[in-house]
Amino acid sequence: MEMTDDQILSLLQTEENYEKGFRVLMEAYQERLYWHIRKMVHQHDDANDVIQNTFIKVYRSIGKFEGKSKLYTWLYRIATNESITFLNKKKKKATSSIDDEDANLSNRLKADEYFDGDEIQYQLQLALETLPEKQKMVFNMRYFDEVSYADMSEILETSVGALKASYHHASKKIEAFLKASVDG
Amino acid sequence: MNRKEEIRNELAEISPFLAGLNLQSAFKVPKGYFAELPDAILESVSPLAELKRAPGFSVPKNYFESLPDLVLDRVAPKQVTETVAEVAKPAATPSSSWLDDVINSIAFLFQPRYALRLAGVAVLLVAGFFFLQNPDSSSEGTLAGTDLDPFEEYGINIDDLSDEDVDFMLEDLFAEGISDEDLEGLL
Repeated sequence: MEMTDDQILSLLQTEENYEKGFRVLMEAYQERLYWHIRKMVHQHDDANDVIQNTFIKVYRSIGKFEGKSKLYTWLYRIATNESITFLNKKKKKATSSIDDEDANLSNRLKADEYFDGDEIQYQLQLALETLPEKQKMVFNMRYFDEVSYADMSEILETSVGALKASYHHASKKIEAFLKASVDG
Repeated sequence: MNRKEEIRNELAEISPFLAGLNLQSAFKVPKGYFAELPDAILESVSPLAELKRAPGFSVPKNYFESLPDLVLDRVAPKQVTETVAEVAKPAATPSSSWLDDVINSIAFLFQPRYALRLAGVAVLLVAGFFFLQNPDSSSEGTLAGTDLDPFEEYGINIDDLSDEDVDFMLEDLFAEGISDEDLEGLL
């Protein structure tokens, strides 16, 4: 039987049940968080590193969770921050130009054994790559993860109005990219 | 209206084209990945893993900055000076006279690598000399404790031995534990 967030949190409050509670928490949220991270970093190996870092951070700081927000929005926020940190580090290491980066993503997706998309899904990933990081995140969370604007507002610490505008812009840009690739 | 419908309607208003595609994520994970992930994470946060990351040892402040000086202080000053002079010496200095050339050539021959080769050649020459002086010598003939019979036994001409053969032979001798006295005797 699936545990509620309150049940998980009460397990985490006792030392003898801490590991059990943490395991239940991971099993409950690992897939959602993994896919959230994966859509940002693309490669499975990178997503694996980021989700491990995310849960290690959760393990060490769950005691600081005050329950002011939902558990899952708190977890999403940590995963988002870890992903952004990872991407920034990666960008600092990269010496190639933006054009090269696009070509790299294209090649990486084609060579990735864990990417099984058809042409339109492949084009969608290329279109997403043209968006600013935060816009890409908003689109992914809304389109794929079906996150409400209220929860997204907690996770990204941005107003609902700004998120709606961001989703609108992202959708329009992706539409234009996909239409151009179909026509081209 | 549930959230799924709400999101679909929203997208249909913004971009009917995109709403019509109904795309799914095309990313996959290795088989069994999510079943194994919790164990992998619990392992990395176990007390043992924590200890590995921070074993509890520390060093005094600025220890690594001062370590090279501490080590250099403990090395004999003469040795340091010699080492520094050796490193600072130009790789190849032009000879000032023919005498310098001769001295350099001799010094070159006394480098360990060439000295060993010369010793090997000396051994063979002495053995050859004894062999020619006494062709009837028995198979028990030894030179400073070193058995040279295999040459005769297998019909090997000493002159045919290359530098590499001599090196190889000497390595065998050293591997068998030739004593300093034997070596001096050979030389």
